[in-house]
Amino acid sequence: MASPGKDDKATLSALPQEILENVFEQLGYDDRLNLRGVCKILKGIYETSAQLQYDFHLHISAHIDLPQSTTSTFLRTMANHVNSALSFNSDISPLHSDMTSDSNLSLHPNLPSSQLGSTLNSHVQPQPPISLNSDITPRNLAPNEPLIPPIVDSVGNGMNQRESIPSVRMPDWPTQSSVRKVGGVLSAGEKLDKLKERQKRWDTLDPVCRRKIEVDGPAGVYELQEGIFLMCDDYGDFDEHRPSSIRLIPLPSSADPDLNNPPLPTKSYKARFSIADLTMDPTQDLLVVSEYRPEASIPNGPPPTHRFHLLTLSSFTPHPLAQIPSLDFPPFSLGLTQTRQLIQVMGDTLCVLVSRSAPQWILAGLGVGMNFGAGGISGIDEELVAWNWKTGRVLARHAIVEAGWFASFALLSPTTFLLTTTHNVSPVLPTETRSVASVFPPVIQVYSLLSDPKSHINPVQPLGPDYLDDTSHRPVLVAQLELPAFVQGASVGGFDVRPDPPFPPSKPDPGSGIKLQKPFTQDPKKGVLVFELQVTEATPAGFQGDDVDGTSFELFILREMLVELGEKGEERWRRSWTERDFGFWNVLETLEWDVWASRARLQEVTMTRRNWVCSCSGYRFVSLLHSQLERRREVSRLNDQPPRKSDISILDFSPFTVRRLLSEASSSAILSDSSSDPSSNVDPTDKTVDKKNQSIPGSLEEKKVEVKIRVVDKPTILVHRQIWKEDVKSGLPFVEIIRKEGMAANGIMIDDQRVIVVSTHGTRSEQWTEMQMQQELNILCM
Amino acid sequence: MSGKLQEILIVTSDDETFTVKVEVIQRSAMIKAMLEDLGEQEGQVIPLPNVSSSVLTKVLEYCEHHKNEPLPVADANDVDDARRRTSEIGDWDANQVDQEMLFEIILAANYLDIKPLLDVGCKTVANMIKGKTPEEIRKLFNITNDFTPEEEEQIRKENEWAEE
Repeated sequence: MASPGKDDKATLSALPQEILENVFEQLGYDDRLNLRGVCKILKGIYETSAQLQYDFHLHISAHIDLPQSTTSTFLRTMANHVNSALSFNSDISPLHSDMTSDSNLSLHPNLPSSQLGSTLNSHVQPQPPISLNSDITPRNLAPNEPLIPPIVDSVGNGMNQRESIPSVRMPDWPTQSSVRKVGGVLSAGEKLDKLKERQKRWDTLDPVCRRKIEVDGPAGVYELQEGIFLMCDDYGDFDEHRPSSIRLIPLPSSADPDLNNPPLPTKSYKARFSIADLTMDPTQDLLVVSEYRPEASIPNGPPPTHRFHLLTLSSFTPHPLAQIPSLDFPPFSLGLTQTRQLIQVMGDTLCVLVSRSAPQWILAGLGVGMNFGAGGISGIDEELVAWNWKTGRVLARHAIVEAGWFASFALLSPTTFLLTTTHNVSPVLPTETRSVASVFPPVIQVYSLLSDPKSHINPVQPLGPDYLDDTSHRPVLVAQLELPAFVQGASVGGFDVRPDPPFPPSKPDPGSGIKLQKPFTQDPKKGVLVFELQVTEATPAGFQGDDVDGTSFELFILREMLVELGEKGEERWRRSWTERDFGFWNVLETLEWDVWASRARLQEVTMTRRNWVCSCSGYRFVSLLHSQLERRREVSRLNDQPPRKSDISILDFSPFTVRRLLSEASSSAILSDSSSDPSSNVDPTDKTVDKKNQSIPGSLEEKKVEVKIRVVDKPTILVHRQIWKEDVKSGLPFVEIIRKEGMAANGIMIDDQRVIVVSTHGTRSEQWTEMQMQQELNILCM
Repeated sequence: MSGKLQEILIVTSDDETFTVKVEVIQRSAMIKAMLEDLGEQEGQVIPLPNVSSSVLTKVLEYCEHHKNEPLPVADANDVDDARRRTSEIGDWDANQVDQEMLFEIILAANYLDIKPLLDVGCKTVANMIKGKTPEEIRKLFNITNDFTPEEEEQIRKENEWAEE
């Protein structure tokens, strides 16, 4: 450690390096850059400090550091797990009941408070115990009964983590050991090297290696999170074809290309019920399985629409942190027969949106026509419920306004979510005569799950069918983003957002059974959200038959903008709790399209048929382009279109990547225009950065392929046609990277470490009753 | 507390002797370790040839003010967390000192291994820097610009895309 000299006068630049590094660390990123530009000493310190450089690269790549496991945290975690298990099995205490007190249910009374609703509890007041309907028997909550006993466990039980199950074929065992291995605790310098190397690979879509995995079965129910691919074994529209087995497949990565040390072994489990849908959060060892057509938990009561089983990924037993091992979605309000659901987890929050509908032929047969459902319009009955999955408490339930399309949502934080819906009930409706589109103008709404601490509502669970029960909270609308104005007669057929959140960082949990060893992860507050908007043009007579042209648009919005709207909205919501002059009506902020159009990009879709929906990760959105025609052409409109030779396209909306490439291009004079592309909607003066035939150091790719990189910083202008009242201009800049792979493919997925090119083989029988399909996953490890 | 060392003597670079309570000075990890190594002897004398009496006075004021707070835990991971958490400066710590004294205190905190004081000092310097251009920072701290115009232009270009 340096010591002060007697005769030296203390000045800033004379301070020892470690002190100056500390000063840098106390500054924001822009101030750090300014301090770096003061003199050579300070510049040198900034540029040679591994920690400062690592911080900088985390910042510009929208990543955050992940703490790595140490002995002390390991012991603490193990102690907590032991504590949890003991309390689960022995310390049984009665739950509060609204009628009787004979429900003896375990609620982890000894669970460390740090693990109980840690995310939400930091925002809200302490909550009273959960009220359970007295008719619930302990059977429904029995903690020790394995909900899904394994039928095919991992082969070798950990002796050989790489072995697989018969329906999943891994690449051949390498003759040489992997070139890259997961290290132990990494220094800032080592993390920096890994981060920079990965970012370089993403810049040119140059994978460090490729691995192929073959999985039998169609793509019905599946999920991809944190490098774990989860796929059910069968799927069909009829009850007898509902899947009941789940396969967990760890995917290779650049750190572990040959799966020498996967986070989980490949394994399969058989459920004792049919599976409707599922999601997972591997960072919390959490698997949420939605049961199809569950039985009622209350004798003679209505069955829930779905039951969500909270399990561990590693063992398929009830999750030790979930006080109630399964959560019931409110029952059908009417005898509807089909459901569509979106499930998402972020921190302690589990949010589910279920759309309940009847097929039109049933409605017609019942003579109820179209006048059916919550909004009484199109037979779609939609509801969103949010729980704290650890405590089992209902945070809010929300009946969604009938809009004419299925709503979708995405969690922005553990306490805020967005909803694609209509502001039919908003006070900002235009007074003019309205068409279908303007009666149901699509809008992105941001809600808060926080509740006024003065409101002492204690939801009785399971929830009943009545949306407007007085024992549950409603989420609070804090902001809404309006879309461009539609012409009369135009109609909106769909407005979807895919909920793909990065998970908030959590302390490593070596006791969980999953070995996630990422040194850094994507910042859950940053990235891009992709919405798909399907619009049908107006016709003079209002006719909307088969000849009417439908168009799909993609709307890209930076996640940080929506997160900030949610945070500011929650500040206003909190103010309204305490400030009498700040009324509830001041909580909602409405942004018209013109206000935020420059921070969004609305353009026609590039890939109209997506068999796999995991298309977005961080700032990147991946698509397949047909190799011959390259751009603005879909790969496949049909469900069972065979794989075709395709290239990979990534749209990268990172503001830093855009600015860096523009800066590099302007200084090295390697710009060319892209006016040769007649199908482009963008201004032809956008910049193309010539990085053809690149292969970065460290890459194992021998074959050199052409890579085109284009910065699109001019606005997209959509001609109004019979859709919009005016031409629609939007200007969020992005980088387009096209890698000319020419791979046979009909699907593509992406996560923060890989691009997964899918090639589906096999066909259905003529009667559509039998499916013999195989998914070939070509994994590009980035 | 009987039998436990209560006070020690500290001699500064300008030969001033301070009688200091152990519970106060043990916020210095360096002195705490030294006392543990040397054993507890009443009237123990510790020379600090790199710290002047005026600076030690300020350091002892800080230690006295914070003596009841828990000592930092020496855990490799927690050190960085603690450093990043030091974002607010308490009312007492915000007492103004001149620039030279501030740097002397930082150097003394670094030498004596008083992590919280070092962080408060660095945070104070950082607060002086916030929102200022390189030229304004040079002026504030009397630093000579030793970049060539070409180097300055290069830095400006590098910063251009990286700034928010």
